Amino acid sequence: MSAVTLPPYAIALGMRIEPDNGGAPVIGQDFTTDVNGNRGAFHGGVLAGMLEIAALAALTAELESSEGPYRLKPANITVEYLRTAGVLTTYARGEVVRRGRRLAQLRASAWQESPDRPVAVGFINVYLAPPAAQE
Amino acid sequence: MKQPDPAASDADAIAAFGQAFGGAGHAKWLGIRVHARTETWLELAMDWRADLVGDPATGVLSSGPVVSLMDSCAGAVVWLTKNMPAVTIDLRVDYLRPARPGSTIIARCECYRVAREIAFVRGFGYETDPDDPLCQVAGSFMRSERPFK
Repeated sequence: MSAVTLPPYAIALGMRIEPDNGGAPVIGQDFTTDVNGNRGAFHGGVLAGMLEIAALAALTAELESSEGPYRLKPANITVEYLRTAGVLTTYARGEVVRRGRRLAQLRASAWQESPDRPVAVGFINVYLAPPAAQE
Repeated sequence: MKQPDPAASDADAIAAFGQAFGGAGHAKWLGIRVHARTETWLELAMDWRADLVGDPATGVLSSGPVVSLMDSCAGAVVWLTKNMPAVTIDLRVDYLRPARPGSTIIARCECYRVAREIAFVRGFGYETDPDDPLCQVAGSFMRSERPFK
């Protein structure tokens, strides 16, 4: 498996990769002033950011290092907001629904108390730029 | 429903944005601010920052800050033009092209329809030319039961 690293944005906000549980990487983010959207709830954009980072981490973890350094270029993201994400730590985990040669279709879920009660789910389409096509 | 006031000033937009997002927290961390408005749309601006980058190899911003900007603008325009505090039901962002590293991003959103308790918003993000958008956004918002006070 390829190593998963967090982008500068995630590090600046305080996101972390939770200890390996055997599945796709889980991203964690504590509630802080910097993620507060409105009156003690996560900003929807932070949840979207977590969903995309978790989705890309799931894809990166699945791409074997022998497949070369793909550059992942998200084409779009759709987020459904299901519950208020309050002052608890929020977690997000991604899933590769389908991976073709050029396109990966990803899903991610974010939750607080239990994965069975998601606060948001996201769908992300990612173009896989082959190593030769990198700028 | 309160009708948009054509003579409404930027102060109203700033107040609406402040009421929707408290003028603190995540929007403040991102440096999001009111850029411009008309009676139908609202623009918010966000500067590029190295610590908002998603791909260090290109300097392109991560999805999170861009969605935060678009979501903030979409939510605030519902408040501003429809006098309706609202929470996001869903949001779709299409990335039409990468944002240019170093450039300020401007979001422009319009609430084009309110049906019962649901507000529909469309918008886009651009750097300097509204005819050269970098992303397109569509979202729906539910009237908030919690008073925004």
